[in-house]
Amino acid sequence: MSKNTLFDKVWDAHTVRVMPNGQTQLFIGLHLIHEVTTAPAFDAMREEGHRVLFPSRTFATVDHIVPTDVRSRPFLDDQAEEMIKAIERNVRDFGIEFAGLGDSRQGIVHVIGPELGLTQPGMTIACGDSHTATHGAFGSIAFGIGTTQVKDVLASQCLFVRKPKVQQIRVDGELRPGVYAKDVILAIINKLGVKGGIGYAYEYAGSVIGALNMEERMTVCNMSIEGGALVGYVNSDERTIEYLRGRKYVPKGPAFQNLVEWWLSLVSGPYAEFDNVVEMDGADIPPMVTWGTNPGQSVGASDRIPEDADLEALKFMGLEAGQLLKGTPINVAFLGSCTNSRPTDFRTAAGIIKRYNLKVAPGVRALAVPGSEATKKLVEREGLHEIFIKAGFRWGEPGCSMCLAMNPDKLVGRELCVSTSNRNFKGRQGSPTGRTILMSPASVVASAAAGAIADVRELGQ
Amino acid sequence: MEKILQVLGRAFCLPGKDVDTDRIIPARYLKMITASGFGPHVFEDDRAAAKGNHPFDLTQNHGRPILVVGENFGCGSSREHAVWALVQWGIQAIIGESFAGIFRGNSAPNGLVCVDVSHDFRARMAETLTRDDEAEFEIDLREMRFSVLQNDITGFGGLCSMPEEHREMFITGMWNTTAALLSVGEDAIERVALNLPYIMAGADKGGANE
Repeated sequence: MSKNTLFDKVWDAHTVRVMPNGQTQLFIGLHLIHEVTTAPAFDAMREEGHRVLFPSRTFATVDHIVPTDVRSRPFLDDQAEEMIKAIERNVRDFGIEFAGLGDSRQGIVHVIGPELGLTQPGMTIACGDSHTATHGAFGSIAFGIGTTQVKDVLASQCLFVRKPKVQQIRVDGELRPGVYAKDVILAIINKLGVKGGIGYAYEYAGSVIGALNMEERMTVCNMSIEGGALVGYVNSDERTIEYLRGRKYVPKGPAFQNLVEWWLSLVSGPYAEFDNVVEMDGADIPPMVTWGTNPGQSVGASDRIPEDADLEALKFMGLEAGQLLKGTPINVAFLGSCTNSRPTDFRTAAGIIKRYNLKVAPGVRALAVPGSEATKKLVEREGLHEIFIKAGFRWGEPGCSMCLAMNPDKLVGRELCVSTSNRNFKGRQGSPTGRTILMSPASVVASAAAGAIADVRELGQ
Repeated sequence: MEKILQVLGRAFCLPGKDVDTDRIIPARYLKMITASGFGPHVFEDDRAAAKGNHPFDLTQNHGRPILVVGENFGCGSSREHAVWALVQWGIQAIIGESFAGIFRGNSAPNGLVCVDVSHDFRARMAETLTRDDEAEFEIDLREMRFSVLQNDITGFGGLCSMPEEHREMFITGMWNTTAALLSVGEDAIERVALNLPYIMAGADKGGANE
């Protein structure tokens, strides 16, 4: 049983009641909505005669289906047009704040929440999307829910949830050059497995995690669900406070100071007890690349695929046990998704392109998609988009893009894509035979230039 | 929805572990704004690749209400459409070694019974089905026991498990989680809200509605 962790404190503060069966009725402090998982929930709300109980704690956007090039309406895809019309109708009928297409606040739901300061420490946050864990980077309890649960939150601002155990994952020491936040979470999932986190919340701690900025912490928390953990979080600290200071939906002045005091009181202190603790050394982590069809099937960029690697996964990917992944030719490079589409990611990637004067290799289709309108504006103000364009990337409009095949950005046929997204499942990127290799933005850029899977540490050698 | 006290019928296996929800229902079907019509598309891409040999395409499996799976079933995306696809195809219960959390949470409100059994029992079920495809499976939600009957004689049986809250939903027929959540009263919910510093501070007053 965990005690005195941030998880316990936030859980207790949001407990409405504990049921005889042991579940908690948990108040949800922030409900984020997007177009894909909500239409049937709103229909059910109408059928059952409910109103949204806390419209002021609800915020909606569109991200999964939006095209990243031509965004004029009606969309070419009839179903996508119906879907965006449905959410527009629903937010209007139920009085929900909406960052729609053309709104300066629009973007991937897990990018805009923190950007706008909607996401804050000490909240419970729910959204009909498994990568809701991202918001845990701010010291919140954030998790993905299904459509029926979306209805529960809309009508009651609560959910029945069984309290998970809490496992602390300490990554201490320092990361080596060429190793980034994405590599850290890929290494964690590699170590603990894709089902290691079932029944657990993950607390990420240690000096490596503490040294990450907020956007890098979001990359780590984002992929908690790929390790089976519903929730992943980092204790709030000075970085968290400075990131949030002055953001649109964050109070100012004395109200801010009071909130900060509360945020810092929630952190896992010296009396925190965890159900389990795992320790890792940052120096052991190389740039990581996946070789298989789940995010746990990965190796270091210069290492060989294990001899006992799953044969079915290898066959699908067209790879062999024991082989070096490095040097495998690629067809597509994608910089984007809720995992890695924030200013830090583009600064890192652009910095590498500039330093080594990189160009996308002939025959490689490369795409860079900012996670939100605000990120796009910021990155363009710094002139970074020109670096991507000159190198041969298409610079897109904000959205989920090539992560998951619900908008026009898709793989074709047997294409092999190096991607900063979070899932390499069969068919994930839109072609049943398409193949995905997950890696960090730095590794994607190095690979795009090489026209093959590359180890970013070898650049300039 | 009415009470579900047991599930009885023939079963078939879906081999493999970590079967993810992108495979159960490909993302292109998530653009449907209804909650129905997903049955024909369950495992669509896996089935196309298997050219008629996929367990969901074998004629003897059509109509069978019980599916036997490995570990971490339903991992990945939170799409409830995965549950809808399985239920609309005709699956009433899944016996597995473990289930991904969000998938499991989506299953009960849709009347899909998901129970855990040990690795050894799951292997024995798979082995039994290769020898005797017509074996009858029974899952009893009152006792939380399963049995496998061959020629009307109990072949073997044992314990199975599911979260208590799901078991209660099935055996009481109390499906409507929304009604249950609201039954505590809006005042009780408001009280918790007003004790939260970020709600007191009017964290949303920077621009959200109100």
